[in-house]
Amino acid sequence: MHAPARVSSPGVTEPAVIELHGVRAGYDGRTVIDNVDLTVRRGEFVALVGANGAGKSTLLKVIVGLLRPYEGSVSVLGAAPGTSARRLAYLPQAETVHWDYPLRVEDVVLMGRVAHAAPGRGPSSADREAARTALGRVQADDLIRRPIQALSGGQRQRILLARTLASDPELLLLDEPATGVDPATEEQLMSLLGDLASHGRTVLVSTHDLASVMAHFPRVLAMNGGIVADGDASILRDDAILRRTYGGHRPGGPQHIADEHHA
Amino acid sequence: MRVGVLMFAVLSSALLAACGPSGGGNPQLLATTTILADMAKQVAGDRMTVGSIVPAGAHVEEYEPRPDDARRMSEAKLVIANGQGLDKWVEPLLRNAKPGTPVVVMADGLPDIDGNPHMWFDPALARGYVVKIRDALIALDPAGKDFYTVSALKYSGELLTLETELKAKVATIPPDRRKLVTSHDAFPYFAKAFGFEIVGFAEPEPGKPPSAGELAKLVEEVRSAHVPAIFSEAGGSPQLAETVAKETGAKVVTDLPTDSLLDRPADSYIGLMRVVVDKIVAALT
Repeated sequence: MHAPARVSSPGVTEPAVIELHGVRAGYDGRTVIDNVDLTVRRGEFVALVGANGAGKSTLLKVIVGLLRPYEGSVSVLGAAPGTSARRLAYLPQAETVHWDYPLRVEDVVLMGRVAHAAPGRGPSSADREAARTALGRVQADDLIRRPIQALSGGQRQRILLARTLASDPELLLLDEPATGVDPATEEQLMSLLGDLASHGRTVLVSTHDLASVMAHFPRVLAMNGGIVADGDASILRDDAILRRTYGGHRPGGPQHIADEHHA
Repeated sequence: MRVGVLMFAVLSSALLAACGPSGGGNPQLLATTTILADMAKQVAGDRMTVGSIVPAGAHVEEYEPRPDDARRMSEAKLVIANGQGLDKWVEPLLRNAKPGTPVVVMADGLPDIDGNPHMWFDPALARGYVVKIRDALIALDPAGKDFYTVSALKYSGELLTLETELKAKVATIPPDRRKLVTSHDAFPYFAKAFGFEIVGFAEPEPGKPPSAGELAKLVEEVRSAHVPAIFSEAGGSPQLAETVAKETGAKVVTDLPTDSLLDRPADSYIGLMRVVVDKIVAALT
């Protein structure tokens, strides 16, 4: 494993929200990511890129506390992963959540809004307005009365994203949130996430859309079994880094298409 | 289930007037099982008292009601049953309920698998249970509508998070080892939700030992499917599982919770689901 190529450093004045040192993690004894050292500070807007199987989802799961690393240390919001659940929101890949019972879209979004409400309060008109606003941000306000079971996979993902936005967490971890979303909505979504970061929220997003990354993200982690490069979006113009990230295949090639769903 | 039709029983004004914030004594909400009682408690909070007919740790499907259950039934404001035959013993008990007492049956209208009652093992269907409990509570106590709405939303959100958490844990099991053999047929919804294959179960009928032929068939299925572990349910004897394990080389995992809550950490629905998944993941990874 090469040391990650560090092209630029984020500001160091903000407190660290995520700190990983020497992390190795994977599934059933198999290592998916290794030698991961990472510091993400408050207000950073970070893209995770790499082929399927590169370890983007694995890294997010380690940060959320869903996957315990084999080695290394992890600190999230100043505590062990999984202990600050109320302060972070995690959006897993599409179709992780099943909808055999048809909850209404508005209720799913309100779940995020009222998650930390005092007992007996609301949902107030402000909560419902916040839910409508969150749905509007993902271009789904017209779905508010629909049962979520009746929606397409992409629409459901947008509803879950609206729930995440409605919960207004300090740290957002989004695993391919643009899956099933049309390009115009994706563009608005990434602008919105960048805006949240500029207002002090910390946002990590895994994505395959390098054009979107170039347009929106000030920091990029290129992954392939670990972090192979960490810098601003210019690293995506570096052929050597792209080769180390995509193993000689440009994004969109056969390796990109191969499905290793949980890595 | 026949009691399902009672869900739509019209409440008398006298009954409505009697329903308010929780009081002492008999539970206002009487659930058949501890799992349903926990879900009801999450939605009802302190506005209602909640109890279960079957005590924690006891078998639900083989339960035999006691005289005290009839007394508690007579005081209940709302009865929460699972349906699909799991708690069919509640039907004669309902004769002791006050006329017009609503009965909400969780399984009614939910997508079932061959009539199997263990729907709570699919977190998506568990969220359906929560919606039904919420609606029944609002009908019973309209003044608490905001309270029940918010607590149901919060709890459903926790169940969404639980689903994500459990699926991440299951993802650590190699796909070819995601095979289940359990004491009885309690896991079809779990298998569907989390991507397991049900290879078999020791008791084709709950509470009855298998015939020699059925046991031999199970041993053969376990061998040919290379099943890594046999799960023996809490409250039951692991003897059958041990017999199959001895013949096949699979390991035995005991005390898998299924129909009833147990001691901590399986003393809530969420805790029970975590214990089930943790035991399965530990045995199959």
